[in-house]
Amino acid sequence: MNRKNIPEIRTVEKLNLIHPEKMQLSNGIPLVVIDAGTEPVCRIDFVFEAGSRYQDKLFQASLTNQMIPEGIPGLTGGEIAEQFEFYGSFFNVSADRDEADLTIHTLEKYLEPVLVLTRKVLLEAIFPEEELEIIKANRIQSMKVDEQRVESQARKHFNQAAFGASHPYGVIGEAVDVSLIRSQDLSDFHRTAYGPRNCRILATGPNRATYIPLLEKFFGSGWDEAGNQGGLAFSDVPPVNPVGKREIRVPMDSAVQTAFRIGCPLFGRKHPDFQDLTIANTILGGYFGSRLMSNIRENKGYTYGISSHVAALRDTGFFVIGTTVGADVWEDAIVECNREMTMLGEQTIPESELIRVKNYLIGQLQRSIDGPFQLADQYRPLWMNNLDFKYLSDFMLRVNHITSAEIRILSRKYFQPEFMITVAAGPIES
Amino acid sequence: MSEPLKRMEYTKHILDNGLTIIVHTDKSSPMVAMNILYNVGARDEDPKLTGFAHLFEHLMFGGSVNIPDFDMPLQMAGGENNAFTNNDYTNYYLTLPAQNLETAFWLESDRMLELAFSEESLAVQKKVVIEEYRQRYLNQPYGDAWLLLRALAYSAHPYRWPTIGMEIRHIEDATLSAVKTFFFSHYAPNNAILTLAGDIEPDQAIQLSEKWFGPIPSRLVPLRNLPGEPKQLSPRYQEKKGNVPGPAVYLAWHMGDRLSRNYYQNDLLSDVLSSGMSARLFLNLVKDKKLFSDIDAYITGDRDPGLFVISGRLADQVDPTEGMKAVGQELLNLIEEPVKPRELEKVLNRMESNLLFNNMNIVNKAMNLGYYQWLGNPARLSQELGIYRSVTAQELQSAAAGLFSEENCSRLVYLSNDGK
Repeated sequence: MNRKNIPEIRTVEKLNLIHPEKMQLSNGIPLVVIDAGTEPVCRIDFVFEAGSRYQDKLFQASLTNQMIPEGIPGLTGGEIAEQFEFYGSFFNVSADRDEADLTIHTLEKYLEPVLVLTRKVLLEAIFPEEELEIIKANRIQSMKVDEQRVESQARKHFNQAAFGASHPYGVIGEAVDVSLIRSQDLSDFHRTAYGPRNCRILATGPNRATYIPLLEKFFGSGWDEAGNQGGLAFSDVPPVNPVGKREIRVPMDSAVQTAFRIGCPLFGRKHPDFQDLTIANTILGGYFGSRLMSNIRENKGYTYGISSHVAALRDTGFFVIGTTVGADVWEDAIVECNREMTMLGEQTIPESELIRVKNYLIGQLQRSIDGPFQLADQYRPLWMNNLDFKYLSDFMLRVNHITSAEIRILSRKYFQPEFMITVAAGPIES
Repeated sequence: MSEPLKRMEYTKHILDNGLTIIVHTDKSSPMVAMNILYNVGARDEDPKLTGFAHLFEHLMFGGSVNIPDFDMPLQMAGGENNAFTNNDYTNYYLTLPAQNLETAFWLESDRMLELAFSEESLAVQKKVVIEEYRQRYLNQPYGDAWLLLRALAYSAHPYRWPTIGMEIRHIEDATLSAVKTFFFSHYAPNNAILTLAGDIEPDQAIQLSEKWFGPIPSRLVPLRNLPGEPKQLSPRYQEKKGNVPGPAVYLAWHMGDRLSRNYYQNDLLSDVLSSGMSARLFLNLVKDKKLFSDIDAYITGDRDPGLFVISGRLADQVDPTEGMKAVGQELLNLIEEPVKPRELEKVLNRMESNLLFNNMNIVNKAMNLGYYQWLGNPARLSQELGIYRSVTAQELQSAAAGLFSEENCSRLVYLSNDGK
């Protein structure tokens, strides 16, 4: 037996993709079906173009989303929750910058009563003033906690600097903005943004014969008549307008560590460089064996963790390095991050490292589609950008074919310290 | 409306050196998950050298006797891994494409055989863990609450310190010779459980285990002899001021161990109080009385007798005493009135969903089978729901009466520096 050398590695040639089926309910709602899994459960995502970029007032989108299950005629929020929970179902809402959703996970045997209730909640939400006041007060309380976290401060100020103080992706909301929201703001937003013409449904589970007819029955008709006309003429996201200042310091006297972010606005998934840059970013800071982890954590012990991301938003995106480090070493850590970026653009990476990253990425791709809900998680953002799983097979091809020279050229183009915005929050001077 | 979760098939085999192997075949995945549970946690630490089990977990990635680096070859094989340490055990898990399975055996068996024990790796990982300590426990509002609560609620049992360690100095004080001693007394085939799940057959798994783990000698693992926690006889109270936006309270009561029926009763009681948006504490204290901005009830789930905890942040301008009084009333209701049938059915249905949804991918399956083997029997995974469903409302009532007594309670009140 040879304990010194790694057993023979075989690379994976092809992804085992289950291609989702696209269809429409009779009222035109796009439905995607992922017929996968072995357990008698299903997940239904109702996705709306109703993220914060579409709001007129700060917090309008996220509070509308959060308040949807908080009351319909005849049922309080507590009673609605009790019914979902009685069936052992999970009803979740979430809203981000581009999209907002309602997602249910349920045992298949309870799908029908759960969908009956979901339809009511989605169509008849009344946004009671009293429940809103509680949710607002609690939101303000958790914002106060966030204000004392160096990571939150660094993230907020980075977004502001990268996108612009009045851009929907960059604006910083304050407690006072939360307090100004009224129930009417939420009803208005609900009426325009949560209609059938602004909705997509993603259904995941092993028994399509069960859930497709139920979705048609409860969401394929009768929705428009319920008063939701939907179909906003949403404007495109405004042009990115960085603040201009590249070095931003957020002093937080009582903190014991400093969080920093280094990055810049970039582009969305459809940009020709997006996939290749994702691969280059993996080498820089996208996995445990990355250059940044090896240097800043495993070599210097400055941090518990450091990572970098190429993040996609609708029609745009950004690159960012983020970490929290000892208060006495943050400046050195930033110097090292910049050095690692520069080095990737100047020196061709060793072939052994490139092969390792390629194999790791292919393993990640396999992991990311292993299981019905994982498939749904991967498919949804692609679908919302009018892409499909061909995007993943293309990515697999790029991983297999990209060369170290291409990575060097790309890194030189995008990982340039002089283009970066650096935000540090911690016990530092402004 | 109940139906038992379907029985999960597995094969169990024990090597001559004492290593327990559990295999679950799941051909719906093209990957394999490997989980190794070592029966050593923070409770096995010297009280003067706490945080050691967790620091050691970090060192397990710093190279083994024949392999200078753990992560790089695993990445080469398309794999990914992680690990965690708790008060009771240390758990390592990885996934990789099935055709590269042997790399996982090669890597994990070498670090069970012997670590590289380098001064350099120890020095760096001490710094990393100290930054972890700062990031997660000192640099977050209320971050040290659990450190304080454990020390308040326990007087003798090693659950009185958290896995990260009682203080940073303990981590700074760790020496390489202590690392070596720790390894040879706890990291042994006869003190570990190896679980595999995914695209792998039992025969193949056992043959590969014999090949790679079989030659590792059994080791003398010291008998665990932990001080029992004496019965708490009077209420405990502590106030802490810190840089937080407003007050929070942490209440803890001593409860039964993981295998006792009391565990299941208390788990359900905590669900009645706070599982979901229709649970009592949220509905009554957050929404109706507006005393808390959030509140949660949970059990620690430890192997030895653990804690039932209620923690919450007060709403703006609410005095902690008033909040705790309202919590007390909720607990009194549990003692005086049996939980209604529909409410009990609700928490049981949620439990069923949770058990099912938490056992759907190969990593969770491998981790769960390993955990239940560690508790004594992997088949228990499929029996859990039945135990929960056998608990009656009357049992919950008497469990509540036994648990929520004044003398069994520890209270930590966290206040902001400016006294608010």
